Amino acid sequence: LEADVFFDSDAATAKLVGAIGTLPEKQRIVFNLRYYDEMSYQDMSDILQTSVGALKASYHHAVRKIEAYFKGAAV
Amino acid sequence: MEKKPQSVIDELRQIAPDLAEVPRDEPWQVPHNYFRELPDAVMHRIRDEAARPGLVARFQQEVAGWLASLRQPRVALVYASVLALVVAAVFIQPFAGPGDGLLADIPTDEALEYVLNNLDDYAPSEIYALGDPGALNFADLQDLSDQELDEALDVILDDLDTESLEEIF
Repeated sequence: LEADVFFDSDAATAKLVGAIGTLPEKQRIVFNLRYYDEMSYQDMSDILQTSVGALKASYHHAVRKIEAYFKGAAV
Repeated sequence: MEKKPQSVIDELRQIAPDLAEVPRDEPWQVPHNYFRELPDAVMHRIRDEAARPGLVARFQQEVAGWLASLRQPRVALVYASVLALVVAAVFIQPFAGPGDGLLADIPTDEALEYVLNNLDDYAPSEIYALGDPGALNFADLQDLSDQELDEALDVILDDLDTESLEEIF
């Protein structure tokens, strides 16, 4: 990531981007839409054709995985 | 009842408080004028693809270009020389029989073992030829007495592997 000329951020953000890259595709999409675009679950449901509950669960799992990634990197 | 999160950060803070402290900056930079130039870049690419000839047309162009190059004396001479060398290599090289080289690679012991295991497939004259081919001729065997024939056969069998014979019989 650091080698990419279009990537400009600190170490923590770089680690976050790396953690997002490890997520399954669906969780990655949900996390990016929620975290960066602050999209509502209802709008996400309309776009992804998935129920709001499933999206919330997907986001929750994504956050947990990213948190574990950070903890694993810190060890 | 749990308080409804007011923002994404509040929601994140409830799930993973440490992660909520990470700066939420967009790390990626867009190249200068990327989106402004994007429509033109796409249109150029579409036009280039449309102007590009198909596979068959390109092949025909390649062949036509190659044939046109043959009109040049030097190029034609080079191709003719290469063709002559290939033809010469094919016809001058001595033709080897279908198995000339193969049998030479087989060890004598293995060949002998095979023959002994398949004696029934061989004519007596072929078996006799395993001995000294110059010393014994099948036609001569007809003139030999039974004792002489047995002696001749013993000479041949002495050269064979005794263990192999015992396995057969």
